[in-house]
Amino acid sequence: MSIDPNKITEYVGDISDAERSEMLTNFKQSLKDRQSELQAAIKSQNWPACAQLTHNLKSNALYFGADKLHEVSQAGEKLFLSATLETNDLHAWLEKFNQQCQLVLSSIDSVLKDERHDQKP
Amino acid sequence: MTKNRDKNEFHVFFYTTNRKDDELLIHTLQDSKLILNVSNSKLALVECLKQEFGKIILMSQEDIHDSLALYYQCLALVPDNQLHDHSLLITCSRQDEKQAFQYFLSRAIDDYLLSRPLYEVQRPVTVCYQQLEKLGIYLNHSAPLPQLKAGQTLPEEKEELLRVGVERKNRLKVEFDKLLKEFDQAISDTEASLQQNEPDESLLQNLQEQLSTLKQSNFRPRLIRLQHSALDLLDALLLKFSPAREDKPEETEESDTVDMPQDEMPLQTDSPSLNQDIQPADTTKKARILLVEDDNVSAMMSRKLLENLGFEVHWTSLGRRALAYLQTHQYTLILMDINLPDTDGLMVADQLSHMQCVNSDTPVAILTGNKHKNLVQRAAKSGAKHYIVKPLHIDTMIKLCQQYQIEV
Repeated sequence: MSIDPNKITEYVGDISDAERSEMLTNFKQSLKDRQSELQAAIKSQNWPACAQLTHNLKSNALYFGADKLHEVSQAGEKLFLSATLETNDLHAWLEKFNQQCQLVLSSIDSVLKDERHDQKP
Repeated sequence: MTKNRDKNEFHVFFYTTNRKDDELLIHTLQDSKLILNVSNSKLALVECLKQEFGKIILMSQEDIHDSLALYYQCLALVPDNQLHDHSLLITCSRQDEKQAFQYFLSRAIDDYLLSRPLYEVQRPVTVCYQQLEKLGIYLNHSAPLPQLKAGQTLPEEKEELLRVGVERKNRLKVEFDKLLKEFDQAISDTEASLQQNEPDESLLQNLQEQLSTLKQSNFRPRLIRLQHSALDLLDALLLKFSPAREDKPEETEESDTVDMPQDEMPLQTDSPSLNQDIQPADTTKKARILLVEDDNVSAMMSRKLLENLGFEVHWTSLGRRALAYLQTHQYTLILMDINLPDTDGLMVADQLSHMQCVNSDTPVAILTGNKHKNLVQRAAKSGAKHYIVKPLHIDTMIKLCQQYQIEV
C-alpha cells in the first residue's frame, strides 16, 4: 500500500469515515491535476512552476502517509531548483514520479472501494 | 512620472576643471535633449545637491579619485533633509576603467564614461537618458529608425519586424506612462476626498478601475511587481473605506466582496459531510483563526484540523484578501503560507506589523514547506512569532494554543 489512511487522523484529529473518503477523493483529484500540470510545466521548461508543484506535493503526500511520493517530490523540488538540470536526471526522476503517482492513485482507489464495500448492508 | 521642468532646472550638472579637454563631451550632450549646467565651482556643486529636482552630477577631473573626493566633500556639507535625488557619473580614461568599474560595483558611483578619448561619441547621451529614467525623468526621446548606410541592405521582412516591434514597444511605453499619470491623478483626488472625511464613491470606484487596469498591464515586469504590492495594500484599504460596503452585514460582506475562486469551493464550511458530528456542543463564541493558504489539499487538511480543535476558520488563498480580512475581523491567531498567488505571505505579515488595526497584536505563524534559514530569518524580521513546517500537525497546534492560552 503506497498510502496510510490512518496518518490523516494523526495529523488532523478524529474524523468520520465519510470525511476520510472525501479527503482521499480530493487528494486523488489534486494529485491527478498536479501530475498533468507538472507535465505541461516540464514541456514548457517552466522550472519555477515545476519546483512549486513538487514543493506542494511534498507536504501533501505526508498527510496521507504517501512517504515514497513525499520523497520523490522532495527530490524533484531539489532537481528543479538546481542551477543545472540534466535531461537524463529529469527523465529518470519523471519516471519515478509517475510511477509513484500511479501507485498512490491505485491505493486511494482501493481504500475508497473497500470503504464503499463496508458501507453496504 | 513626467513633469514640466522649471526654466532653472537642468538635467546634468557637469563639473569640469578642464573645459577644453571635455569640449567634445559637452557638445555631444548639448546636441541631445539634455539641459546642461557646466561649472567648475565647488559652491555651485553644493547648491546643486540641494536643488529640489532629480539630476545627474557628472564629475570630470584629471584623476578619478579627485572627482570622487570633491563630490563626497560636497555631499558631506549637505544635511540629509536637504539632499535631493541624483545620479553620480564620473569621466575616466581607458586605463582607469577597471578602477571606475570597481567604484561602480561598490555603488560609490552610478556609472562612468570613458571620455579621454571619447571612443563612443554618443554613448554619454544614452547613459544620461538611462540615469534620468531611473530618477523618474523621461525625456520622451523618439526619432525615426535610422537609414541604412550606403551598400547596406536589410531583407524586407526583417525591416518590417523591426519597425513593428519598435512601434509596439513605444506604444506600450506611452500607454504605460499615460496609465501612471491617470493613476497619480486618481490617488490625488481620492486622497483629497478622504482628507475631507467625505469619501466620494465615484472617486473610489475610479481608483479601483485604475488599479485593475494597472494590474492587467504586463509592461515592465519588475516595476509592475513592486506596484502590485502597493496596489494590493490600496485595494485592501479601499475595501475598508468604500462607502458601498460599509453598512452591509458581515455574512453579506463575505459572500459579496470575497470572490472565492472555484478551486476553493470544496472547502466550504457549510458542507454537511465535513461538519457533521464535529460542531462543539456549546454555543459559546469560538476562537477565530485566519488561514492564508493557496494549496487546496493543504488548506483542506489544515482547516479540518483547526475546526476539530473548535476554531472558527476564515480561509483565503490570496494575500490581499487576507489584508482586507485583517482590517475587518479580529483573529486569535493567523496562519500564513509564504508562496501566495498574488503576493508573498511574509510581506503580508510585515504589512500587518506596520498597520494599526484590530489585529496589530495578533500572533502570526508562518506555515510553509520551506525550512531554509534565510526564510526563517525573513519571517522573524516580518514580525511573525512562529515558523511551522508543513504539514501542520494537531499536536503543534495544541502547543501553540497552550502558549497563547487559547481554549480548544
